[in-house]
Amino acid sequence: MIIQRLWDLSLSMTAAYGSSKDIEGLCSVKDLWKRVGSTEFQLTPQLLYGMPVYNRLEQAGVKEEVEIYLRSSFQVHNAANLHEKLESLLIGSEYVLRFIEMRKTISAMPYRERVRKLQAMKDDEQEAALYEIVMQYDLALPEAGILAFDIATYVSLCRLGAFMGFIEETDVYKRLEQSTSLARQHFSSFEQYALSSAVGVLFSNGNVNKEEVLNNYYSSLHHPYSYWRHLEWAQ
Amino acid sequence: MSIWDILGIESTLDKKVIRRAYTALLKIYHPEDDPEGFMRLRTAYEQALKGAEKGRGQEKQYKIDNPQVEQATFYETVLAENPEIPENKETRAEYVILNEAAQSENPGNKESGFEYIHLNEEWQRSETNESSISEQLLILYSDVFKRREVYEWRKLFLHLSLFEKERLTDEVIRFLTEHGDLPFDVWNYLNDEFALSELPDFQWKELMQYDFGLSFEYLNPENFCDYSQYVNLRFQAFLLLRDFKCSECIEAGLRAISIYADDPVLHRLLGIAYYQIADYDQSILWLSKLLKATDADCDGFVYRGYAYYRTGDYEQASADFERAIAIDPEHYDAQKGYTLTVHALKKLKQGQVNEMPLSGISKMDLELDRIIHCTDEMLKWPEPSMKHTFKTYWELNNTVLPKIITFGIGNLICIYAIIRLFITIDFMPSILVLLLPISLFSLYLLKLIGDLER
Repeated sequence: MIIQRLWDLSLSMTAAYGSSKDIEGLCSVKDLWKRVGSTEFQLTPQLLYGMPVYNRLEQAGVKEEVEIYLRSSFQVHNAANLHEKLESLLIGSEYVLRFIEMRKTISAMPYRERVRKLQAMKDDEQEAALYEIVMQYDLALPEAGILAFDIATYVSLCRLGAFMGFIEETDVYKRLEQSTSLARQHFSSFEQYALSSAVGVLFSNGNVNKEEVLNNYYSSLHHPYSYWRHLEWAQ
Repeated sequence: MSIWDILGIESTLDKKVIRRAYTALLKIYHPEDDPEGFMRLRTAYEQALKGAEKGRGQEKQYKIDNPQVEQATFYETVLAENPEIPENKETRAEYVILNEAAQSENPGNKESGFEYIHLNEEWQRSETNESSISEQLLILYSDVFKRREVYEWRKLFLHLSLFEKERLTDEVIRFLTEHGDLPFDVWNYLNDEFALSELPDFQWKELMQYDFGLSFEYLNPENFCDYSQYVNLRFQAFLLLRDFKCSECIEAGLRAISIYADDPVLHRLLGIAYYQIADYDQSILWLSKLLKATDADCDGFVYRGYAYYRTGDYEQASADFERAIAIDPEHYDAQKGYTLTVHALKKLKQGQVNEMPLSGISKMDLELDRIIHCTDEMLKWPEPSMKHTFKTYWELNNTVLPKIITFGIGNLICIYAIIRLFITIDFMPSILVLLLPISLFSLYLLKLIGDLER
């Protein structure tokens, strides 16, 4: 049960919010991965939120930071907004839908024509940057494209929402079951899921902050304390 | 059994009727289930179409040659001059076709005189219909081998005056909107003629803008199969792949393959569709067929290379990527695939692989960089907890500590005062008065101490 819950929580690692606090939290629990199988092991609020244990002052600072992040990136500032946002993510974010549309236009196109298409978009640099991402990862991504971006955002919002007190813990776990089932349906490994999600982050921010995305992607898959170094996809 | 019996219709020169009958019967005489029945049906269909085409052409020619002759008189004249022509109109068309066959076998025999026998009562109708551009377009479009030739399309529009062309443009556009399966060069020609790419909602704009490789060049006229149905299914498969409906694309593609199996264009579509649904073995199978027919298809090598890579066959993958790079050294996917493959091989063989130098990969790539360029130095670890000095402790609690000191001193003074009063005056009411601020100070102090950051 605990392992499954950790699996569910792990899906937010490659979300735009990043995994550094999550990993910091995992590092702060002594012998976490040794104790995780034992019956005494309890899932702490810190693990649920993906935040390390803070003193009161730091906690206040982080809360303020999360509040600003939720407000500026998702226009979420209360429980009602959060639920609305979560429901909209289940339908599909604008980025995922746009990625699908763009991928359709190039899916049956030979490479030389793709290059021509890109060159023809000289006047619209932003659009060209997005097409470049779609073309660059077309062969690497599964049929689901960047769907993992929505799943990761969904899980991340649930966890941060719980941290801010916008959503109940039981509701979080119920929702995470949904996102886990979606992830399992469309992806076959953590690598594949992580790539899809990270490409989604690049796509959503127009290919800027590439280094940050790469670091987070690498860290999520390779950090010795990361969930994905200790869990199996087919758990 | 006559061809009309086989087609299950009355003899006619109407191609639409013939085609409709043929399409309906195709479901019964499927080439795979009943090859003999299909051959019989196909022969009847082709003869009927040929006869209809020839017949109509001759009617037209007769009218041009003899403008003074009335239509009804013609027929009587022709019948009178050719007593061998059956009078029953149902059998006339068939007669034409059968005689035509005899004529083609003995071109010197001019006696049969069947050329004019189609001048039946349908003349008027066919005259008006045939003059419609849609019908001519349909005739051209229905013949796959004519459809693929720019020359044929040019011939169709060559005789039109500018005025006529303008008048017919809407009709042409309407027709092309419903019939989009044309090779790139034909689309280019049609675009030049009718400025199709400037139309705001023309749905095939991309087909004239980009070459999707929907060539008809691999269709062999010597083969005996329903190419019309084949290209229709192939186009469906293409549209489905373009819509990223890969499973449906495969379904349509396999139906097309059952009609004609030697078209690399369809092999490519199937190879890509199978790759996208992660059925790499099938993808390799169809891409291998493609590459057997066209060994310069760079994309074919790239897709097959990735399919091999995903299945763990790095040797084959590497060979395919090398071929692709040899064809197009700038192909990004080929370079990336090659780098990934060589890296995987190196890992597998513990460094015993010679890597080919690559030039093109300069941009960041998550998949590639994670494996090749990222190191553990990039990993972040939590900062160790800070050890406090008096200064840092003061800085951390600079709002609470002064209050604690102030209230602490105040509290001490009160306690001192109580003791003094108790010893010297022994005046109970004064002691009781002082106990109240002491308890308040103590409670506040406890709260302040609780607020201290450690």
